[in-house]
Amino acid sequence: MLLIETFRVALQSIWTNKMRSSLTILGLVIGILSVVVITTLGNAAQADMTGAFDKYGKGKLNVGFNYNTERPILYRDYFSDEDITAVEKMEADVVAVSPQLRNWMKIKHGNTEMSINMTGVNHHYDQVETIELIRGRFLTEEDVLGRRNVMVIDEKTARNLFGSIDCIGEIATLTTGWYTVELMIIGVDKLSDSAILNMANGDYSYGFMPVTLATRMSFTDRYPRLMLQAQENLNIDRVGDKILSLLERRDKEKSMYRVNTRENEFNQVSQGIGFLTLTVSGIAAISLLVGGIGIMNIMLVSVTERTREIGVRKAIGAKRATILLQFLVEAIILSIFGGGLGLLLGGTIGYGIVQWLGLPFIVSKKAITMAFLFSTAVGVIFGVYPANKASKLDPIEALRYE
Amino acid sequence: MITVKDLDKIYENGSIAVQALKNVNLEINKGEFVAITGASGSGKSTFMNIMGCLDRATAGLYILDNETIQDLSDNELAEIRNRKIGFVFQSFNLLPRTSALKNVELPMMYAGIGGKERRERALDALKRVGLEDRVDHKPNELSGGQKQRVAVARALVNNPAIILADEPTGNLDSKSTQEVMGLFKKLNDEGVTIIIVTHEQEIAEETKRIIGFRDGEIILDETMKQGLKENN
Repeated sequence: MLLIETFRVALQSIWTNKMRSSLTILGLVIGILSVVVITTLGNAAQADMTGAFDKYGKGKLNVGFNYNTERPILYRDYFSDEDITAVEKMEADVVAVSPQLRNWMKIKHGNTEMSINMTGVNHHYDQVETIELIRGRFLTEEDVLGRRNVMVIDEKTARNLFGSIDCIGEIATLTTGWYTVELMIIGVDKLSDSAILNMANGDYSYGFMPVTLATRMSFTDRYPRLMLQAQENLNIDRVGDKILSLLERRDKEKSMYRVNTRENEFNQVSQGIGFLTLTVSGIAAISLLVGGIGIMNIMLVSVTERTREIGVRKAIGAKRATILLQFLVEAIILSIFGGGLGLLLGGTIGYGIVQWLGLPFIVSKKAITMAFLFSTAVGVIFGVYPANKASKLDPIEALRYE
Repeated sequence: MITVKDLDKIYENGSIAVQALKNVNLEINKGEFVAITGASGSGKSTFMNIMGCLDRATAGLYILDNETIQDLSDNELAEIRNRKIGFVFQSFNLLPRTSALKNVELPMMYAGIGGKERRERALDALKRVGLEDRVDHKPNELSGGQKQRVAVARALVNNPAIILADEPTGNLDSKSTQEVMGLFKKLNDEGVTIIIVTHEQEIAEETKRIIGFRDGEIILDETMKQGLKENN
């Protein structure tokens, strides 16, 4: 009964001072808004990463050099075709293997020239990486064994070079050092669906060519990296260990290599995003403190203004706790209004940014609960002092107050 | 109704002690209509604060309606004020932006009385002060006299042992003064114990008993069969 009345009085007091109340909660609105926008972005980025992992990362690993080794990397440390054949035989663990030999080259068509990151791979590469062709086909065994002058390029490069993705059969000139070849476009690869992944991959052009051609252009017959797709539902780290053991049996020094799983890479990025989100929200949360001080300030003004009213209420029989509750409830209502408004605005802004970036929008119940808990806490923490001050007023003096 | 024995009040202000009340002895019976008078600084306000359970005596005995008001906590005093005392103030002290009805309901709210009964009793009290057609008016829509009548209704509504009015006509014009004093007389005729604190001789003379304070002591206690004025 008294509680309903307490709410009524608090709402009335807030409503009577509309302008002042709005300005009071502004700090809190901005604080909650910033935290909500940041967590919305963080959640969206993480959801994007999770989605990307399922599509682009599951069961994918590669073996490359461990660049912290004591001695320099020698010819014998590189992977040979025999190594690949041996790994391919681990059928229980491995679905497919492809060597990888990467080089920055110049690609030219007509008067357009640009840099391109060309990767020499075999015909299994579309199993060890997610390749989505929107035009043409991927490299075949014949392309690789026959060292054909063919290549697959990404959709952006296709557009830049040929003006459209319909460029199958077109010829482009590739140059690395003084070695120049003319390659025919046989496929166009689609960019990934993950905005984060595309951002992380950078803006550069990429293409795939038969690894046999790549080794020839680099004057080698060995590969610095093996790309693999593990069988489903295996512990990917154990698969990595098995491959290292196999290499050891083939007289390779285990300590020279390092297994990189996509899972680890994704987890690291995901953790990075999580940490960044937390840090930036933490900084934004400081504005909650400022908002809370604003509320305290206005509550103190309100207590002074209503000294007489407090005196009357006490004379009529209000106890200390009743007066305390009345002002505390007012502070809490103010801060919940602020929190709610901040949540609403923050959600809207967050939604806008996430849409613009092409990330998924996640409605986080946790974020909503936290926003309300936080604003209530701010109301309680910063409302207690003024409320306590009000409740301690001496009725005689309060009644005499002008 | 009220028994005051050997009451002292001493204000300690740093090293200076001021004796505001000295050995005050007084009996007020149920149904009396009393004026407490005195110049400012005479101790009448201090005495009223103690009678109103807003303040504590330094020494002595104060019994209100069979309850000894002594060594009580702030909360216990608040409860006694709520149940046994109805306050009427010089400056009305109604809650602003709150209807007459809600103002009158306030003491019952603190007494924990349910909404329906509260409303009924508040309407009843407003009827007793002749404001049944002003229940939804807010204080700024009422005249001074009407405001004070709402305050009287608020004082009445919990059926207190006494109504304590502190200069109730101090802010009123002569017409409204008559209106409010007439109301007090009517309520007193109905059996309500009323104590008015005033420095105006004319107001005091409309009551049935005048108690005069000077320098913290009672110097006058005069009972009239009827209001002095009416005797003239």
